[in-house]
Amino acid sequence: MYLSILIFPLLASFVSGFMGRKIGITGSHIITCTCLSISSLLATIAFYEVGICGSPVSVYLFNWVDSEFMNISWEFLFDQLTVSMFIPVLYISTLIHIYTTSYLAGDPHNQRFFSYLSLFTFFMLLLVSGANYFVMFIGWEGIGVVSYLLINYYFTRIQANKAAILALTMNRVGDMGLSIGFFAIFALFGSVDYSTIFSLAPFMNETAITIISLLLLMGAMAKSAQIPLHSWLPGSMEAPTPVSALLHAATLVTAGLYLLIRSSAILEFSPTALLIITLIGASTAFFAATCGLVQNDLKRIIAFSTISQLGYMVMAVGLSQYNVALMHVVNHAFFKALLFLGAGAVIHSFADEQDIRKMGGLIKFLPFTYTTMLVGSLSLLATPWLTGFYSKDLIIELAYGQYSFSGIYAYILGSLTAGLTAFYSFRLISLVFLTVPNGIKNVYLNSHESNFAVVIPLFILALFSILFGFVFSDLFVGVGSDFFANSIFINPNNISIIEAEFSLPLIIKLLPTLLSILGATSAIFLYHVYPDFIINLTDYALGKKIYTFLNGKYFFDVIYNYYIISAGLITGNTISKVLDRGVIELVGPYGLASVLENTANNIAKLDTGVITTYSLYITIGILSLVFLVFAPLLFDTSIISEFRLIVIYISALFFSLLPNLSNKH
Amino acid sequence: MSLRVIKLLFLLMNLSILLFLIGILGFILNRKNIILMIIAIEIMLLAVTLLVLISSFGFDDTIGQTFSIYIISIAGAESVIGLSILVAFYRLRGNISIRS
Repeated sequence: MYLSILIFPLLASFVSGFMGRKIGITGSHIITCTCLSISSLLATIAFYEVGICGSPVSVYLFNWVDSEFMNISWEFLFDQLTVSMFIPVLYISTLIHIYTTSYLAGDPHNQRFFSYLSLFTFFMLLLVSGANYFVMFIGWEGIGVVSYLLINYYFTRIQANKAAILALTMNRVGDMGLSIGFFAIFALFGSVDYSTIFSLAPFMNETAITIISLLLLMGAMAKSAQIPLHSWLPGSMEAPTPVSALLHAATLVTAGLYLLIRSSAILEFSPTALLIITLIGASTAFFAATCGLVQNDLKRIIAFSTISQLGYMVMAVGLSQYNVALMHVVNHAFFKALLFLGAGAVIHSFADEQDIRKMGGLIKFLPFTYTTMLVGSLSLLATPWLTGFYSKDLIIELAYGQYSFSGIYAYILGSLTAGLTAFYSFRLISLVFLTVPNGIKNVYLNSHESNFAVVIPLFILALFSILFGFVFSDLFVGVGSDFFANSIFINPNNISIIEAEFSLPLIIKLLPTLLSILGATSAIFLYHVYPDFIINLTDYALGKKIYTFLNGKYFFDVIYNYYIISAGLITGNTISKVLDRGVIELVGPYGLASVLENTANNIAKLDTGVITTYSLYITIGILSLVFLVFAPLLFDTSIISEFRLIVIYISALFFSLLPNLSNKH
Repeated sequence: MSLRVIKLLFLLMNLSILLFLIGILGFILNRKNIILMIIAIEIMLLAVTLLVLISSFGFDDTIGQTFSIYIISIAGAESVIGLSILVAFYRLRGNISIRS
């Protein structure tokens, strides 16, 4: 059963991809949706068995690399962490498959798209269920490749090509770090199995652990769009909306988080790495929220919101509250997928317009979509007792509960981000749904609610966005919950849930919520009731500068383009010219070949065809043999020096035959 | 065997080695003339025969002297064959230069 969870999406992908012409569009819809539904059903059973009944499963298939030095096997581990990741991945994937049947109904490449989606699901499942870092890495690379394919789905659009290449290259940076991390792990532990590594981690050198943790963090930074390596995520909004919902909000970007959570037993022994992770996470959360304030593209706002929420999760990992981070991963997957799918429904029904400045007043035309978007936004900004509240609010409280520098830093930035999140979420809501209509009349006349294939996923996701946190929070993050058993390790020194729950002042606990409410109301007020203030803001020099700075995403792209990418290209060119095509080729293939060829030529030249020359060779041969035999009589040498003589003879022969480089033809 | 005879034998041995050397050098250094090559081969053969003869005389061994007579007669036959091949070759090709 456990392997079927993985196999079904793969089979669906193969059938839809390789036999798409035979089964047709409807056939691929039916097959992929059915396979994914069965898989999610099995995942639910697995969650019950492993998670709630507490019996982790390990499936060993066969050896992969089997040498004395290194043993890697195809082994799968279904523990509490894995099945908890299964739930959002498979549920959301299934819902998005259903959603896409309607969303891409007019597209000629339906089979390809569904094949990619199912393949992505398979790789994601492989990633979360591998029992060693190498199997995980296959999934990791697989989702990278499929992400490229999906961003580049409209392959005739140059923007999509660019975004796809950006995403792939930026992920390569992280993968490089991650690979080095695996090498370091193997060098230190002699194994890449989770079980071996995690049981040995407490006894290892702390510096080595720190280096490994930072290298793993590098991989996670690229995949989960943390601050230096984040800029691929907004660009990848070129993909169709279901892709944005599945990959760039709910599942792919959480792969980095999964890596960090899975490596908890390593990270916990390196306070330095945890500090850095906290700082990066908090900074990313704040940075992305401020950028999200001024975006005008409907999907880009949500993309920046995703980066911001990922920052929260990384922050929670840095505070070593892995279970809370995982809870936020799951919760965020539900409400962010909801937001994206809602946005997709809006875009679709509004003549594919994505600019929120050209929308407005859609509440009258799309009441259901408005409701779901509102639910998603409220859940996102941690309205009490909605799903987001149980994880996001807890992360901020836990940050303060650490009573440390990084904790306070995370708390301040987290609280501010909460306010900003509320602001941009409600800016989106008011600009799209509430304000006066700013679009073209025809578009409004043609706008309509979507059909059932879109409505049902939105409805289910809205239910999850409302209820999931309430139902599962005690299981995942409750005080003293042993749900995660051995799959997550939290150093007893780092447990701060008690402080966070019982010792914080009331104002500290309420501050994020108050800021959220303030942000939400001010957004509605500023964009709906009194829009002049925002409009006039750019009349001042300072306001204009701030706007430019935020709209330029802190100029990260500019810095990359002007300094890093050009320097990288120059370095690459130099290396290619000097090393690859230069030294290595001269010494390696080209040099060796030419030396052998010239030697062969020289030897061939000895064969003159003149009989007297041969007689000369024979004579010289006999003379040298005679000399060799009688040398001991002449020089009084021992056996070793005789051997030396032979060596001298042969090497002299060799050198005499070597190509004379000066008169090479 | 008196000392004078032994000294004479050594002298003759040196002579035969010298002859052999002359034969070899004549064979190697000669580039054109095939008749000279045959002569050089004959010189080498006769030098070796002389060596055989001298050593058998030194050892008082008549078998060696008998064999040297065989060798001489076979050498005569061989050179006859070589020369007749040359003559036939000349008739066929018109020259007997080694450099074709």
